[in-house]
Order: sequence, then C-alpha cells, then structure tokens
Amino acid sequence: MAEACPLFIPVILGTTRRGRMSIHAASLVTSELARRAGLETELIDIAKLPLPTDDAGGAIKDKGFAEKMNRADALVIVSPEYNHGYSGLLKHVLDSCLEEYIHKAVGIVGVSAGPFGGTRGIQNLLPVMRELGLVTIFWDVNFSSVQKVFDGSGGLLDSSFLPRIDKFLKELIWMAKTLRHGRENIALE
Amino acid sequence: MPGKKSQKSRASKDGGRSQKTSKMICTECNQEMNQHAEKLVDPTSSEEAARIDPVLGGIVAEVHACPECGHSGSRRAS
Repeated sequence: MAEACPLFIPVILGTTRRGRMSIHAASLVTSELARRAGLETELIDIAKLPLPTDDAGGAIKDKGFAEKMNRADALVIVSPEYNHGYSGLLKHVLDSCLEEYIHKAVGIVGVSAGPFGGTRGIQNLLPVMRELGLVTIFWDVNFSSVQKVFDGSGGLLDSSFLPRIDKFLKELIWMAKTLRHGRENIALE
Repeated sequence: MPGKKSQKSRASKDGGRSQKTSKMICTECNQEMNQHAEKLVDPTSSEEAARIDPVLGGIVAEVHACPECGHSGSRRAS
C-alpha cells in the first residue's frame, strides 16, 4: 500500500452513561491523534450507534461501524470502569464485528472516578481483545479521579497526561504500521 | 513475501488437511490480496453449523488484505 496513505485510528468511546466524564478523555486522545501527521482519526461514540439489543454478534452489524473497523489500522478504546469491568454495551458493539479487527493494533484508555484509573476494567478487556484478533500494546492511559483531571467543559486540568498519551500513541502507531505491513505483505504460511 | 506475480493458489493447513485456495481479489482495485490470517469463528447459520470442522471445532474464516489499497476482506475457508 502506498506509504502516503494515512493510517486510520478511530477512538471508540465505550460508554453510554449520561454525564460520562470519559467523553473528555476520548476527546483529548482524539485531538492528540489528529495533531499527528500521516494519520486520520475520528471519535466513535457507541451511544450514537443504532444497534438493537434483541440480538447480538454479526447479526446486528452496523454497516457504517463495520466499514470503519475494516478501514482502521488501529483502535483506541476509552473504557470507564463499571464494577471492576467494562460496559456491557461496549462489548455488544465490539461483538458486532470480528474479521474486521484481525491483525490490527489496539490501545486501551481506562477512566475511573476512583484511584485506579480503570485498570481492572482494562485487565478484563484484554482477553476479549485477543479473541477479537486485535493486538494489544503495552502502554495504557489511566485517568484516575477523572473529575479532577478535566473541568466541567472538558478542559484538561492536569497537563502531566500529555506526555503519557504521547508514549501511548507512539507505541500504538508503531504497532499499527507494523501490522499494516504484515497484513498486506506477509502471507500466512 | 508475495508480490503481484505470486502464484495464483497456495496450500493452506486446515484441521491437518491440506487444501488449495484461490487468491481473493480486491473489490476496490482488482488486485490479488494477501491472506494474512485464519480465524476460527462460530457458525452464523444452521447451514454453517452443519459444516463445523470436526477437528478445529468451528468455522475457519480467511482474512485478506490488499497490498495496493489496504482494503480488507474475509471469506469462509471452505
């Protein structure tokens, strides 16, 4: 594939809860991605996906979401921690695709009101990522005490998150480029 | 690494049995695609359920990507 073709790395906001602070974390990561040359991004809010809940899996695949997953070279998943896990609706959305994810990179951003920054939710997401064929990176971003990190309108109050996001994105982009090369050029023996 | 002139078919392992598979053609730019993965998936219909590989315990999906435009595609292995 032409090297000039930009990477596409969408950010999935994995909660539908009203008043969610995770939207500020997702917006920040999306804007940090958008500042980088050679890639395209967009924020995918699962609250805006018209997926039914009376069926599951590929049977409820949303054409627009599937096309974005097909085009993506990597994903960022922003996941708040719900009772030490991730949201059921995030899983519902992710399960609507499968082949679209295979051999693509994923980085996870955890969000919590408490001190652990969504780490327990991230740990629970990792085996799901593996089964979906996604390749996880070893950097996470953890927004602990998120109500202290952003003001009410989403303004960042703690600039120490910027270098952490930078490290996270550098690793994600490296993995995305490497996996794109592999997908397009290295045959399964 | 395969190029545009790579052979039209290759042998792949599927449940210990070797079978010939044809190259998938990109629907976007008509180029031969590169098969980079096989994924065991659950059947999505009764017809597929009847074709579960007894050795692997599921349906094998092939995943392909186009070296020219990056488009991805998949199909059932058999």
